[in-house]
Amino acid sequence: MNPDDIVVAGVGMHPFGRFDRVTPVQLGQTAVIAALRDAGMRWNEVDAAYFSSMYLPATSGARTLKPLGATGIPISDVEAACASGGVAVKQALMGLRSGEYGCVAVVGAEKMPRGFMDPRAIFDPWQIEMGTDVNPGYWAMRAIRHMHDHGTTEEQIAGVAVKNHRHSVHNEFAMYRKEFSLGEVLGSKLVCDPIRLLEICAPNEGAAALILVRGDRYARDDRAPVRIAGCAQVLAEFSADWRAPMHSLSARDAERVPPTTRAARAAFEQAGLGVEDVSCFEVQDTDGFSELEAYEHLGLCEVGESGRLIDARVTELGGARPVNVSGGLISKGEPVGASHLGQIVELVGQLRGTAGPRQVEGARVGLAHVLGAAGNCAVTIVRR
Amino acid sequence: MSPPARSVAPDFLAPGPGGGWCLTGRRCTACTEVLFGRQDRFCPACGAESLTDVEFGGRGAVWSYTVLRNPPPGPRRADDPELPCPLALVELDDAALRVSVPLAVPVERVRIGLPVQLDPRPLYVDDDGAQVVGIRFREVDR
Repeated sequence: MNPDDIVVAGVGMHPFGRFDRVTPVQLGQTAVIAALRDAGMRWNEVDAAYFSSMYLPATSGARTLKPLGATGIPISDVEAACASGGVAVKQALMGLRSGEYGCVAVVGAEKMPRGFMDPRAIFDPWQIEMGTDVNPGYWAMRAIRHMHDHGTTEEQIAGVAVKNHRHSVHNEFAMYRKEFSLGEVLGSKLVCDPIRLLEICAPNEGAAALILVRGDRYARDDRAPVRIAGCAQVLAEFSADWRAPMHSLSARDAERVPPTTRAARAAFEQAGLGVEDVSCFEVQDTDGFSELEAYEHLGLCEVGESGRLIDARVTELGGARPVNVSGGLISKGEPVGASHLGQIVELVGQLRGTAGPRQVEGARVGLAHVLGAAGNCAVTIVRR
Repeated sequence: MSPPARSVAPDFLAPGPGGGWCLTGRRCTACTEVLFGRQDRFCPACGAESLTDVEFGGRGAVWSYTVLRNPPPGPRRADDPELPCPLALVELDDAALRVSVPLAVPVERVRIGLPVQLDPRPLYVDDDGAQVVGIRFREVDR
């Protein structure tokens, strides 16, 4: 083992869903205790911790983790909307690569209110007065334009939801574990045309944790070691900014490089890998169309071709490019601070070969992708 | 006598030079980027502190759209928009800019390319009796 390699020594989850009688501290502790057990390590071996959440109060990291042992290590809360977990991984990685830390705990936990997210968090009062403060509206307009430009169909968008719901049946950490037919998805209520209820991810609760160590601190066991090969965090550039400012969008399409593309390029460069090397993807399926767009921006296909990957079942479990075999956020729900770490937990299981009925055969490289408010985007690549 | 009508977002919708209302923004003299609204001090595209105020003509075409099927969330003094309500990104005729606005257009008529123009919507009457108006576009003959 190269001493500079960053190894995922342990992973842990609290299921994603609704847990009215479980506190955020309990959610986070469940995940990190599971990750420590998985690593065969104790809390007093951890040199630093990063805690990602968007909706929890200040110092939630310390409140969650200090009770495991008041060892005096730095515990920092981080936030970048849907990409919060990516920031936590990135900070941990930099501390480990520099050699300042030998072992870092990365923990994401979230407890979000039911229903639409409170628009006051991201919209100005005048937008709320005008009634344009609807989150799915922006994703939906991207979808309608894509359908117009490339002939993408409602059936293909719904096909993403059918696929992810089918995958979720085997995931004990998912909120919804039920199969839906194409007819059922297309028959579900329109929320913002063309996006339907069964194609959207729900904000919810849950937690996920990673124990990351430098190669020289890694105690080999009988499992194949999984390394963090690359991690990048970016914010959308002005011309590519679909989400904020939410009142407008530059019409200079030629200058547009999507944040997903920029983050993936940077992460692949660190990893010395390309998209063709990836065995399985976990991507931000805020809605069915968002996943299709991620195919194009990650380079799984040319712009405009993503719907055909659904038709040809390329991104299903068993296909050449499996995407969201965990069920994706459409099935798991999206506890924003924990979602990216949950993706990495899934990929580590895939690379260890312990994913059971949803195992991707021979998985060696995994890519996790999140994208959200203000154009916050993160991509993490793991490899065996 | 009640005071004159006022804009719900004076940085974005303001009394026009020839009476009526117009959308407002800024243009960067360094890179020519055009911005909706007058809240920016630095150009978000190039970083220069060289923004100058502009008014837009208020005509454009639907670049993309969606339809609101549920009441939008959040506290508002205005009545909820009548549902189903189309929302659109309207690409302005006189700027490389798409603005996100509600449409006063029947859902079955909304399509990409539909010519539209600014037609502000009365939102609510303020405490001092002034009518407060918000941005809205309606269909127009080309």
